[in-house]
Amino acid sequence: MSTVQDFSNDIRPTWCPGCGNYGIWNAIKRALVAAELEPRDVMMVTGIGCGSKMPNYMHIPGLNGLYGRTLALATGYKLANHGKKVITVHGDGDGYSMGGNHLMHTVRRNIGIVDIIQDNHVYALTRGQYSPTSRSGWVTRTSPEGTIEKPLNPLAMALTQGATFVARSFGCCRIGGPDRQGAQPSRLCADRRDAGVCFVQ
Amino acid sequence: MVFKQAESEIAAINMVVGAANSGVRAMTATSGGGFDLMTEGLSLAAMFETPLVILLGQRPGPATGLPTRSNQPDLNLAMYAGHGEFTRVIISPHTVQEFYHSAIRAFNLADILQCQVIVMSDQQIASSLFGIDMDAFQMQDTLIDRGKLLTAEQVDAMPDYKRYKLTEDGISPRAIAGSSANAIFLTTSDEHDERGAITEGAEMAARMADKRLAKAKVAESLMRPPFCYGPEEADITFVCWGTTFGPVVESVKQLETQGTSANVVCFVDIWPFLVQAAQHALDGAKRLVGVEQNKTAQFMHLLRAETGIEMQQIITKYDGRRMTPEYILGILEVK
Repeated sequence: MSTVQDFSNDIRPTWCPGCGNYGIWNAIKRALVAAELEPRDVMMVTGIGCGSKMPNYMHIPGLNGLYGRTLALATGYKLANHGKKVITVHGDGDGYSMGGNHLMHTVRRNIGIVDIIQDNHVYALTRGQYSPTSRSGWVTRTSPEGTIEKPLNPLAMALTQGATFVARSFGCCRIGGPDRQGAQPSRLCADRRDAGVCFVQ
Repeated sequence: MVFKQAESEIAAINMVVGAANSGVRAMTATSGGGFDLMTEGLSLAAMFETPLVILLGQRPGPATGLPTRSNQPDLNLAMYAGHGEFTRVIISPHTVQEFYHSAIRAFNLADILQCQVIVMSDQQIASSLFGIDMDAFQMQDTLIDRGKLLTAEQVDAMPDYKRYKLTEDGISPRAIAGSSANAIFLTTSDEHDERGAITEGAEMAARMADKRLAKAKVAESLMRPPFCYGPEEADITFVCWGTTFGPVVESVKQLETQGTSANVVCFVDIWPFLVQAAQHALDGAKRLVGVEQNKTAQFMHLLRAETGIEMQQIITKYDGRRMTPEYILGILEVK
């Protein structure tokens, strides 16, 4: 039986105090423990962004690739090694903007990947530009009078393209912590059958 | 074997990088515009130190150019593609048989050097049919060398395993992440330390850059010199690379019937460039004639930059139609 400590290392995250990434980080560790997985059973694939540094702050095999290419990298890994639990963790810029095409095709292929998108509706690492999920009218550094674009609806896209599991949770609570309502997403990690894409916004 | 048609070349290169990181051998194939899209992934593989083979089938550009025709316009692209500085290997086989052997060799070189091997082809040879004696392909002679790849058992005995351990030759023993409880590490596109953890350290950054380029020395030791076809002494020495070899050899044969002696020095292993081997092969040549299928004579420029050797005449063809002996002999200046 693994413990949360087995997935922890001594590198301190660079995330800001109060960032939702802490909640997601802890939830993933707890979910892996709940699923009775050891670090060597897992491959965490991430892209570029504050949150994509997550495997650097964990004792876990990780591939920290290029901005937007997270799901392509993970797909190649999964195709060559069906035996590992593949978890992708990336932000809304990585997932929907640069990686939108890969997201669409990964969901369509529906291969065994747990895809967690840290969607804060803003490009936070680069200090505040609007993202594909920013609501219309959102004032940012690159939209001083409010963005005129309509936000993407990732859940609708994942649903219509056939993801096995689609969910939205709130990062400041633990995703799937035993004491929280959003317990469903953690069960995905527990499901070793890899029944398809488990998309968690 | 797993084959996957990806949604794009960008996805393709990232998929093969992902696959190779699970421990399998992986390759992708493309042509000019597709290779353009792959360049960011090439740079990623270099930072990861992931062995990778890329087949680049050349055709005339820029842009869509002549998409169903042939040319050699992408040597500079292969040489310089990808941001940052890293070791790469470029080979450009000259015959179908050589392509067969190059495929085996490219994977071995990629594994030994933990770097990217670009095999350069062109549309002409890719869509031609040749009758080849099956004896040319001896499957049982295939040697697979996976370099410093570690088995799970070997890593089990290494409690202090470091994926990017600094070594004299720049090549670290390679464990597959997750193959052992001792092989739990990050593979990151950021600069990293010996364990693979992200670092901003000035000293470590410089040492890792040194490491990635130290591999070029090992690569050099594995490169083969250009080979010579025809008589040792000749009035004309043709210089070519890749599949241009065919029409050049035919030209040599035709010249012979006309009473002019000629030979060919053909480069298959392009990069890292063997300076002394090139100088040795071309030393004493009476009249050097470069032949290649692009406008700017990219290989002859490389040869000159590396060795100072200049051609007396350069014959180029860049209309998308294959090089022919008639074309070469039509503009060859025999002095």
